[in-house]
Amino acid sequence: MHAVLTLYRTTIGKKVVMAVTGTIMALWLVAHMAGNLQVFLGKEVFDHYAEFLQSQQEIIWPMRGFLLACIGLHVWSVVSLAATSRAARKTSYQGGKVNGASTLASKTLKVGGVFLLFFITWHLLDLTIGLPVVNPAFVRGHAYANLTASLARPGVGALYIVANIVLGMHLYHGIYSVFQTLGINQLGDRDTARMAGTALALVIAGGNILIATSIVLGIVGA
Amino acid sequence: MSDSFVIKARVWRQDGPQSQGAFEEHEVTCVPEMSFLEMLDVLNERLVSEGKRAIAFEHDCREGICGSCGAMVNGQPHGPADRTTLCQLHMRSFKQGDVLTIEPWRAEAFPVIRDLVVDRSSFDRIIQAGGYISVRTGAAQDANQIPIGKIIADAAFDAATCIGCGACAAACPNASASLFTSAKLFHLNSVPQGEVERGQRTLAMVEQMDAEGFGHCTNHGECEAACPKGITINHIAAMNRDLIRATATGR
Ligand code: FES
Repeated sequence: MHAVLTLYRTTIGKKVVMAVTGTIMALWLVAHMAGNLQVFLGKEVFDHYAEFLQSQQEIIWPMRGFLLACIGLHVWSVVSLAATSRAARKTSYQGGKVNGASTLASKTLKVGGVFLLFFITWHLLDLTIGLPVVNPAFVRGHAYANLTASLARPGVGALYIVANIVLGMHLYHGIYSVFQTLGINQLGDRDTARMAGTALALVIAGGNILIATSIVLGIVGA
Repeated sequence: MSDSFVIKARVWRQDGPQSQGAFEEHEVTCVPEMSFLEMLDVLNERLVSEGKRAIAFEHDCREGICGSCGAMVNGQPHGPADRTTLCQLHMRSFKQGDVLTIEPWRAEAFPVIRDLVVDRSSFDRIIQAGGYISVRTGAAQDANQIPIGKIIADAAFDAATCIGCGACAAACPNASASLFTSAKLFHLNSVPQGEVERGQRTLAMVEQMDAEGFGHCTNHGECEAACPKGITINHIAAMNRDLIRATATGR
């Protein structure tokens, strides 16, 4: 415990927390995406899968609590780090600053994260809780119908696709950063880190976008 | 001179740490062989002859090895040339009519003293926190008494080429000193002489880096792109790993 606290006191320690929680969330997202691919197997299979998940209450709730804790720690750390960085340069370059090596993904990491937080909230209200304002057609237990009806709305379908593009960029730089923060690529093997970030981004965001686009285009649906 | 040309220098002028600064514009006639600092010398000579205050800028070796010089030139630390300090930047990098915006490093841990000179004693304090090895001194040891593999020796030497100019922190969107601190850590931590105090050194220097008010690393790689010595962010990864190990195992 003492070790963790000593580490967390440093800026690097907070990044380690972000790396670990981020990795957990990314791995969970792989499972989430893979499970949802069953939407292509039809209503029966998908509803059965949803039912199966719902029947695992003693796993679901600890899992939700755990993921919520991950999000909480991830956000808590970045809020603290962002404040440190803002305080580290109060006067910006009056003559501008040329981009040296930053990527679109690295520059939009924080704002993208904020957007993802809003999206996750929407997503839960839409398809887990089924808040009428968010998803009027929601019927508890009808996972396939709920999903397809919600994403068939063009605005919502677009939101899911955009959110996953943002998620993909977040993972692209985030997973790369995990290797850097945990010191896995200390011997200069940065390609592995880049590849891991790119692969996870493509798999998770790609799979999700495939589902969303198929529903938007009416290939999958009621 | 036939190949001379005129540039417009937009230089940051600031009387002291508390004063309000502003850009001041001057035309300077240059030749391609001039170094950037010589261009400032020429301008300063003129300013002094006109009874004005010379532009304050830091310099010492003027051969790219001491780390004294440094400024933002058109938004790039040490100007547009790769792996080049400001003193080694030559005016041939510019052409007739160019406007050069010259500005000091900007970071709260590098407060402006005057014009282009910033106080980098925060870097000194990071070194003081652990950038040394504790040995009983006496007669100098024989060279190669402690055998070190070539790969490690070369890597440690690469890290040790850091001249502490501050371009990394200046370039970083978070004003982080991670590249500097990690280079200083690596060149000691990776060799047997430094191995003994590896853990405590890492923790002490990282804590000092934080205490100085530098930001955190978000892995943009801006520091690496700006570094005149080609120090890589792989050292930052090594620093992170050493810190995790140090706090987990106490070593
Ligand atoms: S004056 Fe020494 S490095 Fe430029």
